[in-house]
Amino acid sequence: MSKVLTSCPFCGSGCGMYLEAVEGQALSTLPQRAHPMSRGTLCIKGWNGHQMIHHQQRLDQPLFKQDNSFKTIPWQKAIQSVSNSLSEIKSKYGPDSIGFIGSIKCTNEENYLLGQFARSVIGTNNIDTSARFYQAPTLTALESKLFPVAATASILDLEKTDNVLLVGCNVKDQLAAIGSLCLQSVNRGTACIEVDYIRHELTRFFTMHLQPSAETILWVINGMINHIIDSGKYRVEDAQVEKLESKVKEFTPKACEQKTRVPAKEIIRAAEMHAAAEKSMILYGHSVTQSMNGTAAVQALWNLAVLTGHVEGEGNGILPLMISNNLQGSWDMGVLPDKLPGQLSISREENRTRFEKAWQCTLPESPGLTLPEMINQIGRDIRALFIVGENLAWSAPDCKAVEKALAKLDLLVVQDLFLTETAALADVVLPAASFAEKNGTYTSTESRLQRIYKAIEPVGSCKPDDEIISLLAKEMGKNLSVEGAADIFTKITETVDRYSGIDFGQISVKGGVILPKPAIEQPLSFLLDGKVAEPVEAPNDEYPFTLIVDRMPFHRITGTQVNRSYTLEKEYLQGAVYINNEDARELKVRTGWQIKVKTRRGEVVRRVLADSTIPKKTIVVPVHDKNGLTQELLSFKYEPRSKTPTKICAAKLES
Amino acid sequence: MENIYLPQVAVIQDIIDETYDAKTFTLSFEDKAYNEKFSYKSGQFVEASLFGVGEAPFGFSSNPNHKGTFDITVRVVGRVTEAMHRLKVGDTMGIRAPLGNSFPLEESKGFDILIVAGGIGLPPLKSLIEPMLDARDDYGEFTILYGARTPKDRIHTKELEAWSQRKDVTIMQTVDQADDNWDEHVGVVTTLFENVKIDSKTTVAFTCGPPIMIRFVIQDLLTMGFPEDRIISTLERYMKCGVGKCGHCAIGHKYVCVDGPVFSYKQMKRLPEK
Amino acid sequence: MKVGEKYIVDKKQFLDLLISLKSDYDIIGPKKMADGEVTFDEISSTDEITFDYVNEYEPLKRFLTPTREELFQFSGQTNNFNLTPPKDINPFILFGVRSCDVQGFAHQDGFFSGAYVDNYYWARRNKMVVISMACNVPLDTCFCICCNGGPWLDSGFDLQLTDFGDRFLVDVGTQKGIDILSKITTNKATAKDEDLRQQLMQACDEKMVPVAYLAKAIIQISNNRVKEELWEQFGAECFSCGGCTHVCPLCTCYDVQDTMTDEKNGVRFRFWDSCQYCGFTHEASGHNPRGKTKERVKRRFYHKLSYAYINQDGHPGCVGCGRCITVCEAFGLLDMAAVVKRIRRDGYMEKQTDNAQAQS
Repeated sequence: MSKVLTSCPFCGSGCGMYLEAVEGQALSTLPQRAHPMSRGTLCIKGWNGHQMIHHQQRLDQPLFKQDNSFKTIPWQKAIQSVSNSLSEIKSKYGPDSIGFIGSIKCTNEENYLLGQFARSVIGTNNIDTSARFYQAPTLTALESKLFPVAATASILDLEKTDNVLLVGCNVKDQLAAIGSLCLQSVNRGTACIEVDYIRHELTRFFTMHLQPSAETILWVINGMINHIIDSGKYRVEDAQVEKLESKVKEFTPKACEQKTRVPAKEIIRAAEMHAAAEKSMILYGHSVTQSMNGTAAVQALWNLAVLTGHVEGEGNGILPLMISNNLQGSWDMGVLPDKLPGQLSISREENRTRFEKAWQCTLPESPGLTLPEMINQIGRDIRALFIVGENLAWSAPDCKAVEKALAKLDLLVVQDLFLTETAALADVVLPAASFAEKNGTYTSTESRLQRIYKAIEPVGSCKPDDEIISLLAKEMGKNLSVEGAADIFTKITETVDRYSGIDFGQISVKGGVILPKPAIEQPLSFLLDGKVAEPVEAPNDEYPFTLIVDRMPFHRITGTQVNRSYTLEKEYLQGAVYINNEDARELKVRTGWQIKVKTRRGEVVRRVLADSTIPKKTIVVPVHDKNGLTQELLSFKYEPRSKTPTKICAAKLES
Repeated sequence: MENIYLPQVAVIQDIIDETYDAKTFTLSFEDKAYNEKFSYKSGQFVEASLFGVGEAPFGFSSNPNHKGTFDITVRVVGRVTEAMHRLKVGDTMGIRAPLGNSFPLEESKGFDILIVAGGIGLPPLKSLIEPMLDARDDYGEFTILYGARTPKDRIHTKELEAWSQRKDVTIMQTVDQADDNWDEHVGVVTTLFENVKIDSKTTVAFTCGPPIMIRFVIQDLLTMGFPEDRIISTLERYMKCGVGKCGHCAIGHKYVCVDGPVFSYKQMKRLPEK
Repeated sequence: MKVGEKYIVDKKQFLDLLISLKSDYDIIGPKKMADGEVTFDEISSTDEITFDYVNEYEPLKRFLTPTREELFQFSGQTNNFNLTPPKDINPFILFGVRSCDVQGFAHQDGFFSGAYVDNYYWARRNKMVVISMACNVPLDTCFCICCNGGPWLDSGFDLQLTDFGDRFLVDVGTQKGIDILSKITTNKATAKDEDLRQQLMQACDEKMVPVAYLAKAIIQISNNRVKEELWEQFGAECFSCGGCTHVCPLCTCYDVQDTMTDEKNGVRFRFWDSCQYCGFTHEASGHNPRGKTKERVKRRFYHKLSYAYINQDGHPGCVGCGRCITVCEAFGLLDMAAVVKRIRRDGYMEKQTDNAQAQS
């Protein structure tokens, strides 16, 4: 028996844990007490997620599709086949006919290498991750102000702040460690204002809960800004405020009450609390970003922070809540169509030169396609997709349409742990090593860089994703000249300023290192180009309900991993739709009964859970349930700037 | 030391299609000597395994007096039961049995017997009714009330028919939703109470079925004046080990698998609600 | 040498003896990890052993009921099965175990006996030799004195050591212990030695911070008089992480799963489960008797503290190791010490007749 220290590979909190291995099997986990943030705690995922490592469905050999069915092939042949196909497509249609999807779950090293491979070996900027579905508005909204785009606060600032503005995130269920710290802070007397469509379990302990109707968080924030300007309680120069004032003049608390159904006096009270607090933090999650106003809402939160002087410093700052362990890392590693590692713009020559030197290649200049654009271009500009650890056929909204699109590709290569719905469509599936079977680093939602350590040998013939990419590059005649995670990390420190000077072998076992905070554009200024959009699908007579997607504590992303944990899978059985109890009465259904949720794209049947905390005419559906894909219900309409699809649509219920 | 988790391999001797979603499996152990020695009581249950799929508990549905084979009746509800329904005669499954306590067959001698069954609750009661009818003279009046959702949901229809032929048994059936061929009672099972004569002073009542039905039956029996210890029912919980160790079926300090599944209402009442 | 006697041994000599037993036993003892935490793991030389520890916060029950344990392997087709139970394990010595865990073993012994004897548990238990170490210093989460779980015990160990610096005072608990101890030179402990131990233990007692008076909570929980609002609050605070049950030396619940190793062969194994998880009581039909967090928290404390269980098991379901304080995700709100305190402070309804009777 041996305990190997590692980081939890599930949400973005970045808790410290040990993985216990006996005779080459990873059997259990234990929280790390010496971890400065998680301090000896784990959530249900941390305690049980490891069960997927030795699940019987783990892929252990490369698969090759022939006559519509898979057969196992040796690695060498698999690599050869992928190499040949990629080369063929590249020479026939050009490098930009190939797209790459990186992973917000894989390590920094793997993501860095994938970017290098896409750009230097294939020669395309068509590379993105599913961060596009979750947090891209943060990037679009803040890229002109923060470099690189990252949290300006640390999680532990929650212990030093006076006021927390928690917007659009079921923090207890999605990032439990942060939820725990919020609860602790509130119990110590810190004020906490929650803004979200739904009332969560922790809400009762918070100072205030502003419950706007769907898609109207932007109005609440702008209403707060309007009141702060109006009452003169801001901490910036008057001259500066004028510009913002004209921008938000229509968002009077009264007008916002009309739009959001949040009483004006609550908006005013929240605004005054936030403005009066000496130190205040803003935490925000997916109800903010997965909206047609995603970018505008993040901009409004920025403006609020600037206006009240809460952008940076101890106990202050903005902390985007990222649902996956390495979402921030994937950005820092440049798994983005318009950015190189270090979030350096691809359009600038000096940035390209830096990496052309490091990678010994010529880089394509123009930004590539984002994930939704790649999907839309399948069959036209996009002929091949190379997907690492992403189950697009489930994670994308309107996933059935996406599944159909993927089937039209000339070549689909998937690296994953399991035969996901996406992998099942692939021509070649390459079995990847899990977090227990490799070394590397993750960058958490607060930009805490932490190590994961190899605890066991890879299952079957699985290989770490970086090794697979190296092999493939070599086969395609380009030696990426890296050997293992430590080596790649050294390359990262040489090319990415934020990571420079860090020694892979010296990363602290007690919580790693918090990376330098982003540089903030000085003097501080407001973001004024936000545009207000209306919902994609407003409820109407035929579809009178607003459907909101929520997440459960035992779940992460598409559930590829958590669904293969026996304990977490059992939790899943709870899958239900939550509706208001008055709505339930009108529909003549009771808790426990089956109900059909229909949208313009599909339908699912689930058990009803009638609850008075759910707003009227609202349906809350947990994402990715076995009894039917929630994603199938959603539309693939995205916010034009960030290209982030909204997770809200109109729906109807049939009993 | 005996291994309490190691099943015995049992061979399927016969399969009866009871309804569209329920089958009765007749089984005997592969090990002849073990099979010879094997005995069980009404109310006890088995843990049946399909290796590679899992294990689930099922009450005996056969007459314990009949040696050599035993029956379990299985309705499709989950993974294990789905896989069981795909088995054929001659296939095997793992069996750990007998588990749990049993119906107070001896203690009920001399009393009138009232059986109230709902849907899939009939099989374990069939395992009680049959040995009682074998010793019919030991009991007084014998009344069986059976309710199902629809006529198609009725289990053990052959046995129900056979019992109704007997002069010394009163049997009434009801369904929630009738079809064209149904000419008997319609309504929930408790509506049958007004049609039969029961003396609560001399009767032991046994009831089995969906939890909500049991609740209403017990309510009515209490109103009729039944003493709490002469209302006998069974509790159902998610169960894994069947031997009081895994903790899943605990209610209060009782474990349904070893302290039950048979409880008198007097015992049930003392357990915490959740 | 007899059971119940006390001896003094030289520390170095004793440790050398321990290592020399390597050929017959797997030696498990406290070791330091990279981040300074201690873990009980296989020891092959005396310098691997650390004495700078109070306890590991993963309970040692994992040596008797591993987090994942094979029940048997199966092979064959649907009409022809072979079942193979796992092989025997090596005898092992657990060195340096703290009293709370030893008390935990004793309680588990009771649970895994009874009408159905858990042969997997006993296969390990019978191979285990417990050389425990009384605590001179408690952690700031320890409250064993409230639960009869330490800092030292009268029984439950094979040998119990008390650290006197360069010497150990050894309590002989069983014949197994005698067999080991008689291999080295020992001196009978004097009255002075026993006094010294008494002083050390007294000092340890006094340093315990969270004093968990279980009595009031036991009464209120047993009589179902804890305010419903308090359970509601516990339910909203609880993260359902299952940490408390995972690290509790007395929690035993497990789940069972089959998995195929290839097309024809597979294993059935059991692994730790938690009554704090929603899926724990979820029935195939969709019905869940404890679907709400508050009901599950209530269940946990009912099991730990109700008369019904105390009567049945002979002890409350706690040894005061304080591990649930360490791992509770609701930080300091729902561990044993916090809950009994919160119930005692204001969490229960006065029995109405109490006042009425007093007045009459």
